[in-house]
Amino acid sequence: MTEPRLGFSAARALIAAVLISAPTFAFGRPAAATDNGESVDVRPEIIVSGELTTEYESSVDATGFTTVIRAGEAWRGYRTVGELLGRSVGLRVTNFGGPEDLSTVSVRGSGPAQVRILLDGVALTRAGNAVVNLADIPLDAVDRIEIHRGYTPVRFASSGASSVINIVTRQVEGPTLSSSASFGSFTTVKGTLSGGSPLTGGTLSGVLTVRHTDGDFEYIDDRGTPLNPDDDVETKRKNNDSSSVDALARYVVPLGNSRLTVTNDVFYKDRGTPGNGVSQALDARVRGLRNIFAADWTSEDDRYGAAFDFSYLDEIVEDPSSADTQEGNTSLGLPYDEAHNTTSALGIRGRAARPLPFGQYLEASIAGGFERFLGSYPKNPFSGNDESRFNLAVAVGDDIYIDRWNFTATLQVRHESLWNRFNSTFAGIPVPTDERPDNYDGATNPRLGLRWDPVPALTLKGNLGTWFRPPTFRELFGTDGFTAPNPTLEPESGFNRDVGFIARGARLGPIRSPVLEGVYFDNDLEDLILLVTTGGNIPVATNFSRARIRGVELRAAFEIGPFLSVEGNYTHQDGENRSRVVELRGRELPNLPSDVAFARLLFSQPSFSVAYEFDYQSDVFLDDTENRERRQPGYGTHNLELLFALGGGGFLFKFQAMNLTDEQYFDRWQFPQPGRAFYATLSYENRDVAASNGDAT
Amino acid sequence: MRPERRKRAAVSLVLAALISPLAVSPGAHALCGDLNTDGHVAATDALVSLQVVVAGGYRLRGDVNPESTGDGELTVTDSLRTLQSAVSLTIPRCAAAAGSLLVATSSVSFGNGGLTEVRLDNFEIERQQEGITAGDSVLRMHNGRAFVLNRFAANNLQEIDLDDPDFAALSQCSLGSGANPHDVVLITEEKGYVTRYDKPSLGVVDLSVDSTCGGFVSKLIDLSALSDNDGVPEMDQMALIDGSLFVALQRLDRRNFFLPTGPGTLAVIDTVSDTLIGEVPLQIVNPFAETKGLIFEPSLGRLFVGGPGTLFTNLEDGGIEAVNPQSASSEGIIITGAELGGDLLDFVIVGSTRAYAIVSDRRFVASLVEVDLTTRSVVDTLIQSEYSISDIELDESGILCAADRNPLAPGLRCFDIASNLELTEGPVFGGLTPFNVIFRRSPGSR
Repeated sequence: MTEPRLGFSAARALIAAVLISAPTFAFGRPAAATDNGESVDVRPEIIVSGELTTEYESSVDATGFTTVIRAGEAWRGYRTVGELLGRSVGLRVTNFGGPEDLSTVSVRGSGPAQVRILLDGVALTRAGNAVVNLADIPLDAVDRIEIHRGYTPVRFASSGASSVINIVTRQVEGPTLSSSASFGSFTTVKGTLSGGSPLTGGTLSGVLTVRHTDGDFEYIDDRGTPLNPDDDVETKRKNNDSSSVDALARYVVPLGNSRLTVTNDVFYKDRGTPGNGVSQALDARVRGLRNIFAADWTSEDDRYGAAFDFSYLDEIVEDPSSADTQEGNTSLGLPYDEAHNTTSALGIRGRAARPLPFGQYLEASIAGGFERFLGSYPKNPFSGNDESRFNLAVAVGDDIYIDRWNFTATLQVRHESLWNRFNSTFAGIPVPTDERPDNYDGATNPRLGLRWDPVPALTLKGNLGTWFRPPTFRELFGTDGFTAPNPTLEPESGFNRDVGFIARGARLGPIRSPVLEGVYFDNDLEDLILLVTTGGNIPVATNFSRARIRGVELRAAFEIGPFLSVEGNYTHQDGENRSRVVELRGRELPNLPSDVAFARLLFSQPSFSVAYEFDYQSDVFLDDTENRERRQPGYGTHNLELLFALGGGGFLFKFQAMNLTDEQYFDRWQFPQPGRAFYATLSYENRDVAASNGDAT
Repeated sequence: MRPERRKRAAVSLVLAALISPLAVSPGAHALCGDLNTDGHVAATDALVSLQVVVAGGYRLRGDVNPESTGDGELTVTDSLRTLQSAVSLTIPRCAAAAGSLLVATSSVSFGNGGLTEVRLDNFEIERQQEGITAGDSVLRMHNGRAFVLNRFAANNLQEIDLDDPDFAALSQCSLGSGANPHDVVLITEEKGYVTRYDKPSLGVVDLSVDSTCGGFVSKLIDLSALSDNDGVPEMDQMALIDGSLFVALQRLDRRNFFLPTGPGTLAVIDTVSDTLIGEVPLQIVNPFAETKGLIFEPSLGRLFVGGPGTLFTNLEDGGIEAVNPQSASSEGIIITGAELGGDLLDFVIVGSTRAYAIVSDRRFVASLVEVDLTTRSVVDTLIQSEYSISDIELDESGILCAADRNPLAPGLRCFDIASNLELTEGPVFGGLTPFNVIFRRSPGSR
């Protein structure tokens, strides 16, 4: 390993940061905090609307390290959920193309399947496929993104992951109307229309988003010959277009001291899937429809809640083999021309919390669900796959607050059981009933969290706890035509530990509202699922791998004078592969850059703002055996944003220049990334109406 | 050699003489000292050696005297040395024997590849490099030149400088988007043929092009006429025989989980006109052997084509089939999957009566077995693994090496086929898991 190992030195660096910063911040004025523990915004009000902000704590987890991205103004520009997550501390987003293409997220070096992604509390992570495509989450309908790094709050009973990202959609409180239109490079178009109106004692609101891009950016194609640069050619990404429509409708009605929220979100996509940059599949596509219906009842004090949800996902994967008969074209190599994957899922959730004597705050939640995955192949002679899962999860937590010391201890325990049923075919061949590999997975995971606020400006926190990630249907039953079933497969599991601080103040010379967070984490991952080749030359999922990931997360924000605000973060991670697989043991973990940094400078005036962003990522191995020829070199990208208020009527114009220096790079599996791109957005909001009704955004 | 094997060897000698189509002369897989080419070194071989000496002839594989190996002369000393080997149940070395093993390595995830060279005298790693080939690659040799076919998603042919300690690339040229090359055969130092597994046409390549690779694929020979309904015949391995190129076509249905649509076939290409001139219909389905070209025994005049048939669900089909390239006809299956005990994944022929094979059973357990072709039965199991044994190769000196891809104990494992005892003390492992093995011989052999 060539990279310096993180160990004592990293911990020492973290401690030093605490020692240096804590005394300084300790004398500052503490940031405002609400009585009920609502999210704390330590930054001042943004002068020009249309900007995004980041918060450092969440009301639902007192001891965990969380990030809350306020994205309620994202619709006034051209952004994606993947972009926002990718610049958040501790997170790594893998992009399989441009902003509208498949992208996945990992937290603190975990695999993407170990991150449970929720949309308004409803799981997007499914048993058929645990990896969520971030491009399927329309940012313009999002209010905030809550990132719980390393732990799952009690209110999400069903964990099944190392970390949780809950994406909360916009909720309009009164009559308002807003819209935006974006145009940009690669024939990118985006339109958003949202509004709300009182209706029969409640509020009906909706957000409609339409996105399209041709995605035909230019890149250097090495023609699959990395050792021969002389044959490289500049080419365009083909069959990389993407169109999507998302319609979010919500009705909120008060019910005495509580309220009922009924939400329906329907999302449709139609995308080309060209594969990697070396061999572009010109005919492969994926089309999908997702509908999520949820009814959520919440007490006014947020101590009690109950929810019901129903999700339906229908995805059609097309990979016509006729492409293989054409020179210059290819298929993706899937073993069918067309597949229909359908998931139907029902979920119920309930939670309750109440204070107890001696400073205790007891919280419990329960969740149950049933989901069924059907895979069919219309052009094949057999019926396809039929798998189902029933899950039941219970989580209980007790926050013990010792007022005298400003000290909180959190004890949690979570149990989850899953029953998986297989009624299907293996590689297109029916499996006899008596040989069907049904499966049960279950785990109990405890967590201990500590929090100490020795002075109002300083918070010290630490956590340790375990987690598990159940195998997907594909891993258990091998129903993709490429892998063999392994019903004895164990869930992935892990032991996470972290310790850190948040220091905040009001003023330090010319610096206003500074906040600094530092965290050291040390995670062990066990029974990681890895595909290996059997004696029959067919891959099978095994629990062969282990890993240890240690790292430091630092982030800071402050303002200089009334007009300039600065925020940034830096993540250092060191992953050691401790796999039982001989060739992997001792190597660096793939897709885990040791150093990632993000910085944003915002200069705001009442009528305009200018923002500069810088993303940096150190070089990284993209495969698990340190393939130096396919190592992604380190790179930095620069973005610029200009935002103007057009008159006083609620119109804003935003201009974005992304990747200004036209940095060319590839992500995993040789997927090229777009170079320089420009976007312009004109947006309008009926401010008077919104302001008079206390628009949540 | 155990008594039963000794007796079987004697019987097979008689059988070999009787079943003339399988009576071989020295070929690619004949052993040193095995001059009657029955797959064993016995006293009769010493007698044949003596007859050649008296007649003033020369046999490369009879030239086994270690003092004068490769001197171009066959003497009584060579005959005596053969007799000594027969008595001591060993296989002597001869001028045809290899000096080292080249191993194409591929990571378990097939995300990274490399090359390793292993000495044959002590099975120690001489040199190795990672990251110089694609993760899914196979190795071929031609007249001492080493070529790597970087297959799925890489689609190129790479020539390796074996004189360079780091296996530097002499060239690397694309074979076209989505080509997935599986085999290369050179008919001259500049002209070759490459099977493009995911395309309907065979590539003719010009190795003399410069590093821009313009005109590297100089011609395409359409084989779609021999494909199944999906238009892609899944061309796999090749053999060049008297100017005709034989190309194994699997004919899988890529719209239906790559299941076989029926028996495979051999396309026959005229390498003068670069045209498809015929086919040899096979009896087995799914003729597939990714780690080596088609096996041709020159003295027999026979091609041997093997494959698993329908994988997993039909363990009885597939097997090894003999083909007469002169008459362009199949001579039938010489051993079936049922007789082998499962899906045949790779094999080598040893003389006229023996073979070694990798066979996978219903539980996906792979076995390296010795096969008696005269009785059409498995006579010994050398190793078994729940994980892939991706390749076996045999040297004329009787060293059989297997690429054991057990992720928990991967490595190269070599055996002495005189005794079937393992020569390596443990898996020879250099950093990446072995996938494809090839003996490094002198120029002139494939």
